[in-house]
Amino acid sequence: MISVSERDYITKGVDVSIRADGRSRLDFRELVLETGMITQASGSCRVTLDGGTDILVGVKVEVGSIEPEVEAEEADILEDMEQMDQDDGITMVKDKDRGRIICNVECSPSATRIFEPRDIEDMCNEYSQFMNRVLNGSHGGVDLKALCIIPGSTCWILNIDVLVLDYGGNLLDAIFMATRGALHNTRIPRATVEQSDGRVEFDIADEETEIIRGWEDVPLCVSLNKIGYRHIVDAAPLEELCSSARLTVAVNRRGNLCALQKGGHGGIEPSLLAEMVQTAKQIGQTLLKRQDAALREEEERIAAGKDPIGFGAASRH
Amino acid sequence: MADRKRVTGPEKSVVPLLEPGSLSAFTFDPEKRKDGRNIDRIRPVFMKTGVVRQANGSAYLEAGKLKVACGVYGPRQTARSKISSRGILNCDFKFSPFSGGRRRAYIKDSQEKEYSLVLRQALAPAVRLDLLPKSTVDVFVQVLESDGSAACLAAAITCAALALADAGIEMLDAVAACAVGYFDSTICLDPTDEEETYQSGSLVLSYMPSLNEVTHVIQSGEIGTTTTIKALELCVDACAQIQSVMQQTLAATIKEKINGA
Amino acid sequence: MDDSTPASVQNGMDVDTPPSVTSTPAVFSLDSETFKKIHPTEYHRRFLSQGVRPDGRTLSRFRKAKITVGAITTAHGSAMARLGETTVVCGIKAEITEPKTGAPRDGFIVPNFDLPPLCSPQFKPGPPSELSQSISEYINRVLESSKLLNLSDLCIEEGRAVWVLYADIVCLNYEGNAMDAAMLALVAALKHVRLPTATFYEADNAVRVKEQRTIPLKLSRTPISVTFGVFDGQFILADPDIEEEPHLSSQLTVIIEQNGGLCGMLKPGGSALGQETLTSCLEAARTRATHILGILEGALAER
Repeated sequence: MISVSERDYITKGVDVSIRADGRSRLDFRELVLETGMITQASGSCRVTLDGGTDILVGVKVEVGSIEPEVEAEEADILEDMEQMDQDDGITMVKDKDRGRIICNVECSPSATRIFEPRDIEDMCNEYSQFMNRVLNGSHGGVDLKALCIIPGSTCWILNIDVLVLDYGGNLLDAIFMATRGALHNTRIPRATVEQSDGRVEFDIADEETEIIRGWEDVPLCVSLNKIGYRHIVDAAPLEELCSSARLTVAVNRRGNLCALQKGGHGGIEPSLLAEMVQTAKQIGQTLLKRQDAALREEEERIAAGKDPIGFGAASRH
Repeated sequence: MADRKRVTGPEKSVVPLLEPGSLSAFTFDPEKRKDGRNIDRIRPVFMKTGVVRQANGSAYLEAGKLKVACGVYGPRQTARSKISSRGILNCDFKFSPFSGGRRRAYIKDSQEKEYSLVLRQALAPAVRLDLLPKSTVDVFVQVLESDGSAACLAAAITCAALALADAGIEMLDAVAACAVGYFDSTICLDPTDEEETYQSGSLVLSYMPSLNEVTHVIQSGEIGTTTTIKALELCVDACAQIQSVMQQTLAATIKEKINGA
Repeated sequence: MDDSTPASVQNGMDVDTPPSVTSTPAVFSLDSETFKKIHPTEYHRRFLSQGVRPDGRTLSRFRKAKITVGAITTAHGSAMARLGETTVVCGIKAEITEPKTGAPRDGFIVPNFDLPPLCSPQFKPGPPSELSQSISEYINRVLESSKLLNLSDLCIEEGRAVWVLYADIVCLNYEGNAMDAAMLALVAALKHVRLPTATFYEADNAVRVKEQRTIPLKLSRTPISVTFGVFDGQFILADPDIEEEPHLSSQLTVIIEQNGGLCGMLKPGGSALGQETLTSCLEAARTRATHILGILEGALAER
């Protein structure tokens, strides 16, 4: 809920590029990133945005069958033609030689005090759907073919579980940052495939692990909010309430857009839309560099054998 | 899991494979699309309103082989628990079981749920929900035949906007939507199902031409920024064309009503 | 309203009060629209007692039927049937499955009738309504008992692969008597089906088909459904529409095949019917069935 005067204050501030916390329109907040603190998970990462947003992502890998579980009485398909990535809906990709990523976003009770329970559920569903769509597919960065163990029957499934610990605005951007960090941190046990008596078997060696191939190409998300006639990056909660429309852009390190989606009740002029896309690309690439630097530092810390200090004390970026 | 409320067939069934060599070799060539269109042309579209007499407003849209019907019920009273000062727009998207390559189940899958969400996000900015307190407007889209999933979504949005207009629900403008397929750096408007198998990405844009505002955009696939911006421009132009057909259809309906009464 | 409406309706309805209550009976006049809303059964009764129905039809008159085939190209067979304003579309999709062990040569036919929330304000999204469930069930029963299709015609490789025909009937506008429309659309679509030649390859345990669809289905008979509604236990209404349906005391559906034989009869409870009534209904149904068959032949010839 936001009062008329607060809305007016924020809109006028955005117009002259002075936001409530002193940032200019395209300034991103400081972020704190930490990886590997959840030893039970195959990979984990926590991202905190200065101002409240706190996201924890855990990745668990498990062995599963290539054909995903179908809903209700849907039939399975064996199509001879090159399988298509249904880029525009949820992929029920039944490729015989690819692994899968399953994302799930949840809100912890501490983050839910602001919203209605129903809105939270809708929001989590929407984010889960968005993540599933972006990460499954060649545009998602992760090499899904490398996750295949036995073509046609077994593959690795990456379960990415996102927990929103606190809400401070701009959840989706933080979620993607944490996801990318967690994927960087994830180690998959090595699977060796053997053929014996015409049957194919695989063996998992827990001690030998490998990284997720393609994690660097995972995109980061930039959410732009239209307030008045201008747009801002990394909105705080009150700014999100003022925004008439929101554009979410996923950018990868090659500078390409991996997904684009608009939300919100208002419309955006096409010229402004094009401008927002350009802004998102630039900001996305800056963010990627920042995150890569942070991840490198994390790697050095882990290599030097230093234990993670714990939540909230890692270096700032 | 058996759907006990319907007649169920065998547990598993598959679409048969084609004999090798029997497929009329289809190689995608943007210069020579199968139906003879240029890359920047949409399929000729036919629209009609008032097809579902029981509904407050309805529309039927045909674009090539694609066939979509939409019925709008409302404004009707919202259930007690959800009363608010702003109207609720409720959208429901469903593929008919026979609409695509393989048979679809009656229970909604995740693609249909996602399309229902997109439908609402695309139409809500245009509908004057503030004028409908304590009311719900229900929009039901039924796809009879699909030819390109992105094109189908775009057609559903257009058809729903037309049905809302037919129902007399006040809107800022009639939303027109259009789809685009990316084939590396080539952009093709309104891709068919066959063409979609070769695409590297797709974009669906919903636009209000009178206000020059985009109500919704959704894109997937790895695409460069310049290509994206070009596609946005192409879509905006195509949407303006689609809206002119919508207006003609609505004008014809009104003339009929005046002459018939 | 046309000339057949009784005078009492055209001039406004009088609601009678029993004479014992007051010495001078009070009479209010209502316009017909209001009367229809507050006392719909009496509204219909007033018409029927004069031998006519609110939409202008006589009691024994059926609505106009129209059939078009082949609209849905993704389906192996399709048809759209209109009965008055009730519109249904049937699409038949053929897929491959393994036969049951007890019947290794038998294919499957799976009919389903759906009333989506699109077609009428009375249906909400969610599980199928009672009406659609009962119609699906009855159609399934008629198909099985009349042996409409010889299921072994659907065999591709005994014990390994058979065709399964999913016949999905979707109602687009519901204005009464969905059963007749659904049955008509289904039969028209079945006659329109063309299957491709299929071969079973042992090597990779798969079925492959030719691209051309050429093989029609062999139907043992052409069943036509004719429904009557019973009002007040005495008036027999042919082809009840949406206004009449909620006030019927009983319904009767008969399935007639092309040579006039009876394939099925359904009378789901309700008020009792005498033998003569039944016989006259059957006669009327036969005439109607012949008429419908003519329209069906015409539509199929046009494809």
